[in-house]
Amino acid sequence: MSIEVKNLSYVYMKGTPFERKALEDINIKIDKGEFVGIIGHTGSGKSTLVQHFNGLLKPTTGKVIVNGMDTSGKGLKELRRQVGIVFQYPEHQLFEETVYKDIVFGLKKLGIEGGTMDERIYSTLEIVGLDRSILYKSPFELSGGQKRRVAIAGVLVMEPEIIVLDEPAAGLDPSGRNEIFNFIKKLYMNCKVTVIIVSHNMEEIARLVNRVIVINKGRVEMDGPVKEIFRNTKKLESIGLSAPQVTYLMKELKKIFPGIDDNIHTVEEAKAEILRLLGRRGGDARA
Amino acid sequence: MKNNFIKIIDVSHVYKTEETESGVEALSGVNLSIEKGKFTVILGKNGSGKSTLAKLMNALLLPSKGVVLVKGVDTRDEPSKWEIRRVTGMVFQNPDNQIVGTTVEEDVAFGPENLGVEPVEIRRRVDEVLDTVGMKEYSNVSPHFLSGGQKQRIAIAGILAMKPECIVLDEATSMLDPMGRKEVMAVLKKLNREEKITIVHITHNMEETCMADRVIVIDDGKIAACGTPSEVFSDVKKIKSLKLDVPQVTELLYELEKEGLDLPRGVLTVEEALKAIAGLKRGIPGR
Repeated sequence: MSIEVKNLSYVYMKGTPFERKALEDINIKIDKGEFVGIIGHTGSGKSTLVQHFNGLLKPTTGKVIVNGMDTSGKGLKELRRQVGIVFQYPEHQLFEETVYKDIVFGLKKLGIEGGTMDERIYSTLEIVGLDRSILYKSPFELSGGQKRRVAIAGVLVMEPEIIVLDEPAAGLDPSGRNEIFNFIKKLYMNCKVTVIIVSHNMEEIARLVNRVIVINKGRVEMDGPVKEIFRNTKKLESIGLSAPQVTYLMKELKKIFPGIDDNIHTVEEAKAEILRLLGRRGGDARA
Repeated sequence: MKNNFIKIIDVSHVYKTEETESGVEALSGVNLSIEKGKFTVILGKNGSGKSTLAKLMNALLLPSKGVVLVKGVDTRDEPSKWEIRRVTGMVFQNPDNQIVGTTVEEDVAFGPENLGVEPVEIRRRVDEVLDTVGMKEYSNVSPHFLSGGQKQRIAIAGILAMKPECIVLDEATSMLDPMGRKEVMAVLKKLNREEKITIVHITHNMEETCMADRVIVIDDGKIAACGTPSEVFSDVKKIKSLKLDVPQVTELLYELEKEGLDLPRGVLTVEEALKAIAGLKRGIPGR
């Protein structure tokens, strides 16, 4: 078990006129090696939830246990080494003179220096797809997508066992977005880590994760495999979300061709299914 | 031509930097006109020059070479600057960077106050524009309690209160969640269709592109493609080579076409795709 959330409730600004209940009675278990997407519209409580995973926020009531550690207890340093959180717009947190100094900041705090440190930096740069020549530039001369990757590298270099990314591609252009999602996928495949990703991009969520948790008004509304969650387009819409565009096309096609599988969320799946419908498995010559 | 609200003639723009004497050329030899009353979308990857183009449209930047005319007035004409900025309002990417008032109505009143509009008239305008963007019930709320989509609608209201003829939005939806995007797009559509306000919308989001009258793709400081959404997206290969996305259904039909199926190009919506695929199935002899 990686993360266990038990009866978690969280209230912001308790005891003030602005008191607001952000999370209510959340129960989730996330296993080691899972790839989880958390979706929900703005204000649903997704970010509040993930900030409990490394003890940044403490439960108002209930418990969060991460790798056997209670986040309300002591020993937060070890907890934060094991859980790396990449916040929204992480490039706003870049502060050093060079990319190198920025990335090593966390490692130095962990007491890792010298050769091991440089090895880790090089392997992290490779994961996020940046060249070593970038290390001695100022973070502020980089493009938006590069800055974002440097900021993420600063978290990955600590080699956390659980990586939480809150809207990692927000505000980037399509190619910047693809680069980010591709290396997250690679990271998950190669490094045996638990990845939790918060996103509004349903197409990407459908393509990447194994399991989706839907948060609505501070509660867990749905929790299950991707196929199960996106099948229920009506329910997603009722809480201000939507399924990927091809899912809607397949649903419409099913009304005309009852034999078609409409539980489809990616372009590749849709292509295969339509070719099957037309009796053209594998793209052979036209019938 | 009377119909051209903004005319960009042979415009180049160079940013001066410390390192290079010649500077960085963001736009080179662009010719473009924005027709009055039309909804124009500008697409392009990061660094393509699209924000530079936007800032040239209301004299925030002046061209290094060439001429920009707004309603026939040269943007280099210093005394006309304020009138140009009144008729062409701008909304920027980050909703938190463009709100100045401590309440919603104060923020919206900021523009007309600076124009010296009579208080009674300001009151009338503020009420009217807040109603237009659907934020009337928030007039006394402090802006930091609002969502991103609500903040952008306030920014739009602030421009409307100055009675503009054109609104230029520079990635104004890129930091918003799907719900916020929908809210803002609904307001833009209404302003364009009902109030006949010229809209220039810079975005990465393909769904938002589909509602435009005209799409302009900028790449490497030049116009790479231009036409109706359906015309521009009919060349999926080109769009992808420009590092842009196409809607999922457009990509699906392109993939199916590669398999030798006879499908129309430039399909953007679920309805169009449904019609095309259904027609194909029916059209196959012996089925």
